[in-house]
Amino acid sequence: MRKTKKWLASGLVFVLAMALFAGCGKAGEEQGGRQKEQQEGQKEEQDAGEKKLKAAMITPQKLGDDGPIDACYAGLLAGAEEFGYEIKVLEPEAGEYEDSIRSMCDDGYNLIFCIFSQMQDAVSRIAPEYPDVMFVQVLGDLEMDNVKTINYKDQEASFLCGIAAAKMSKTGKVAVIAGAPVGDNVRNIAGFEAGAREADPDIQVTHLYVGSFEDPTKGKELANTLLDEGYDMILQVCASSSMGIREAIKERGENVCMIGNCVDESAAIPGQVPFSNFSDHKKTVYSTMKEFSEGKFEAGVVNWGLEEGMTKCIFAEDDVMEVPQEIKDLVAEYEQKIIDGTIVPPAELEGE
Amino acid sequence: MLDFGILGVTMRMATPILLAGTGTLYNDRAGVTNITLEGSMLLGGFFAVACSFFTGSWGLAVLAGIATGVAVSLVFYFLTSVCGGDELVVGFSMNILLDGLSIFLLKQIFHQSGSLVDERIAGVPQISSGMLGRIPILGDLLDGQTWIVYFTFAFALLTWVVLYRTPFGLKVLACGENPQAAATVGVGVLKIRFLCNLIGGAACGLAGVQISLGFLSLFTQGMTVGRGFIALGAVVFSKGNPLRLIAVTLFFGFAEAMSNRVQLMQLPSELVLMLPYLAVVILTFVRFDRLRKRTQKQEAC
Amino acid sequence: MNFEFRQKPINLRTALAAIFIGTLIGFIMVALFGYNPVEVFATLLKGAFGSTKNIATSLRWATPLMFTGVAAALSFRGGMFNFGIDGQLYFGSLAATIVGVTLTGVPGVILIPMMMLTSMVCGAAWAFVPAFVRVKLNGSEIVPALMMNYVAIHLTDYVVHYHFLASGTNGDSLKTERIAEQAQFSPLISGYQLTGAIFIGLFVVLAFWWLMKKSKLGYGISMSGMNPTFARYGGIQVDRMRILVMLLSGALAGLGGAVEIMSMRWRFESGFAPSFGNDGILTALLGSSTPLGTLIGAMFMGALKAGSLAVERYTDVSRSLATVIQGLIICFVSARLISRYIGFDKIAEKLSAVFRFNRKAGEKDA
Repeated sequence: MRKTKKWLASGLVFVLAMALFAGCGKAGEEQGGRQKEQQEGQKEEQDAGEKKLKAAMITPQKLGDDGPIDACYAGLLAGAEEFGYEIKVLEPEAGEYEDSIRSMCDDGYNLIFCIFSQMQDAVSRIAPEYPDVMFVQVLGDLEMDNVKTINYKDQEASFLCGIAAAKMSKTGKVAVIAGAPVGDNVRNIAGFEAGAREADPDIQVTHLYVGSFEDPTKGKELANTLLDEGYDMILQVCASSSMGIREAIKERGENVCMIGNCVDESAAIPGQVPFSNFSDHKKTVYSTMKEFSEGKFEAGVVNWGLEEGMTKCIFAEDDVMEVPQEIKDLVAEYEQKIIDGTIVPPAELEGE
Repeated sequence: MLDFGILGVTMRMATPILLAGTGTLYNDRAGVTNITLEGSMLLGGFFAVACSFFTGSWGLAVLAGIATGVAVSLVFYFLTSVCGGDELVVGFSMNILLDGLSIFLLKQIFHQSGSLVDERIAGVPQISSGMLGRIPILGDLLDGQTWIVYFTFAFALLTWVVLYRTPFGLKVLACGENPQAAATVGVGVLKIRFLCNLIGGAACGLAGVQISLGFLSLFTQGMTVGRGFIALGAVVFSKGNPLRLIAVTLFFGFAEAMSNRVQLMQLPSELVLMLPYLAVVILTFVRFDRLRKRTQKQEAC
Repeated sequence: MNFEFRQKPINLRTALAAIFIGTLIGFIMVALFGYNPVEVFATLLKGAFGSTKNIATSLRWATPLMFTGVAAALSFRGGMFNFGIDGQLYFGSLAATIVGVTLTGVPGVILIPMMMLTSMVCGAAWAFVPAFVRVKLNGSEIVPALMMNYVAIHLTDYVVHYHFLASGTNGDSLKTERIAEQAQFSPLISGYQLTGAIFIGLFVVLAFWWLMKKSKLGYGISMSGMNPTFARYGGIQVDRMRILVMLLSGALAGLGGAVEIMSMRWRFESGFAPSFGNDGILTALLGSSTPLGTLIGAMFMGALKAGSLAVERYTDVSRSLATVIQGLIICFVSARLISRYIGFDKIAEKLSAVFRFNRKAGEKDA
């Protein structure tokens, strides 16, 4: 019985494909022909099974990083439960993005989250072909009719983290370990370094690159190198590679701290993560799904920061690790200054 | 910047390369071209982590890693010696196969696609005592290392003794130099090669354990990042001499340790990350250059 | 260590038996973890051949393997083991991209050949180093070639990052600007990922066939690969052949990368060619380094890749299942006695007949 169904299904797929092909042939040179055909096809499908909510998330890095990707996934799960989406997550290798996005479009997914700017090229090519599918590009600068591009002002939160780190450091040396010298990482580093210098002009601040977002071995060696040099506050911006940094910090004991990234990492090493450089990927995904289900989806480029509450310097709960009140006050004071616009943290590193 | 702390890091980074290299040295001297180091290390590391996850004991995990290495070498032996496969082809495809297998098992057993991180995974403990740490230089070298590091260097030195000073070693050398002659004087060539294969596999497995549970206590896909191939290169350059192998691997370890330090000077990270691999390529030139000159001189004489 | 490599001829039955045993083990592995193997493999087949679009995807992934496969096959025929295809591909394609990015004013008829030529020259230059080590320094080409893969990946990242980074957020993931518009291939049919690149690939295979079968040079190459001592007696300069073979191999690898960029990506991007080099070597090994075999091997690998992407999409089974099966198949192709050893030979004959029948049936049904 099941087998018959399967053959039936594959037969149907074949017929459908042939129909598309024929449609294409009829339309001849005219470009819009195929698209119209497809729109009609999709409309028919939608009419048959009412409007189905199907969301896909395509990520260049693997799940399980306890960072941005997991945060997005949590948002996706929450959204699916709340609004009845059918969801799917794909983790293609570099070079397979176009394939993956295209197949999701063909399978009738109508909201597609493309995480990080690696996807931009593929999205820019596919989006015009599927005008009914809505794309959400996390990080990027695409301006298209069916693409919503979301950016964060990471430098604002990391500026605050820099201030807090400089105040908390006992050795006067703070550092960032980033994955690669690219966009959001650079914004984080620039903000952090500027913040640290703002709080303490004499502070020594540096940054290192792991060269990969998925190499914890290297992450740990770099962290150890920094710790050997006397750096005692380390901001990590390197997704899965940070697992190695966590281990290095944990082994070194009480006197050194890690600053979490993207999510609240204070529970990861109790007592050694005083605050995290938070950007709310979960809320982004969740609220976009909400908008889409209510039909309020708006394309365009947005750039969220402290003001919208999408990035912030988030402190650990008091029972996990106590952070001196004056540091919290100082951070709150600078937060207000940034929101008011009296301080604009730099988004770029000098000389790079 | 150049303090003695870097020596400890050098030793740590050299360990997996030296261990896998020494194991493969036996293969090399017995006349077997086994290039499955990378895959062996990777899968050994994976099973060690998996075992540590389920049992919570690093001792069992080490055994699991070694057993995996041995199993891989058995498969290699079966496919090449018994089924007549080409050693290079089987070695190459087994590397790809084992890489894929580790990802497949990671996904199917643990439902993780990138890395396996868990509180339950127990790492191999680091030996550090206050006494040891206070001795200058030597303290930097030996403090805070896992026992695998000590074992590796002892094993490499022991290999020198075994190869050049024991009957077993002489048999191994004979198998590699001239198998026919060895067979005529009654050396069981196949048996010796089989044993060497097992030693190589076990060493590669343990090297994998050092990477996954010694450096860290987690597994990530492809976490050996070419160290198996570097070890292979080291074996080739050392021309089968364990002492030279130690020197070569320490050089690679130093290159890797330096690449971490040099980053502090804000050099472009891509170039710095290239260092260890570039060191291998450059070494190819240096070594063989010298060799060529020497042979030419001999010919001239 | 003995790194001498000689490609042994493989007959069709060995290949089919290997494919069968490899797939069978894959079947068992899937079943062991409690999934329905029939369903998984049906997904794989459907992903590879299920619709015109899927077939186009299979061909799309087969295209780069035609280049890297021929590159590997050529080196094998000449008695060299070119492990450095990935490095040559990256280096060559970056050079081509730089040409494509800077010379925007040149018409496409000139620009496209220029990019191809640049990529070939640079790929060959990258391949020269291991060839030099082998021939002049009497070492092994395998280790330097392997290490130069890693060097090339980091080096291209460096060049892109510090000299040719795209403006705006595109630069965030280490990409160059897009190459000039006249050098971008557009899809043959809109919506399908199939471009004229496949014809270039077929041409390369054809040229390989011509070289090996019809030309004197090809004879020299295969003689020096099969039996260097004999070739030397016959007056063939083996060392020169070896260098030439490596250079040609590197040139083809570079060309493959450049074509991939022109047809699919339109810009150089860090990590744009996932394991094309290794897959190319497997392709050549499966195809016994013959032109036709390499072509079929490339198609097979492309289909397996497209199928594995579908498996990842629609089932809970990891896509590395395909990698495992690939590895197993090549192991068994080489270890040809395996079927005899486990008393499989006679059964294999029958089974391969059944398999062939099944495949025909499957094609008919799809």
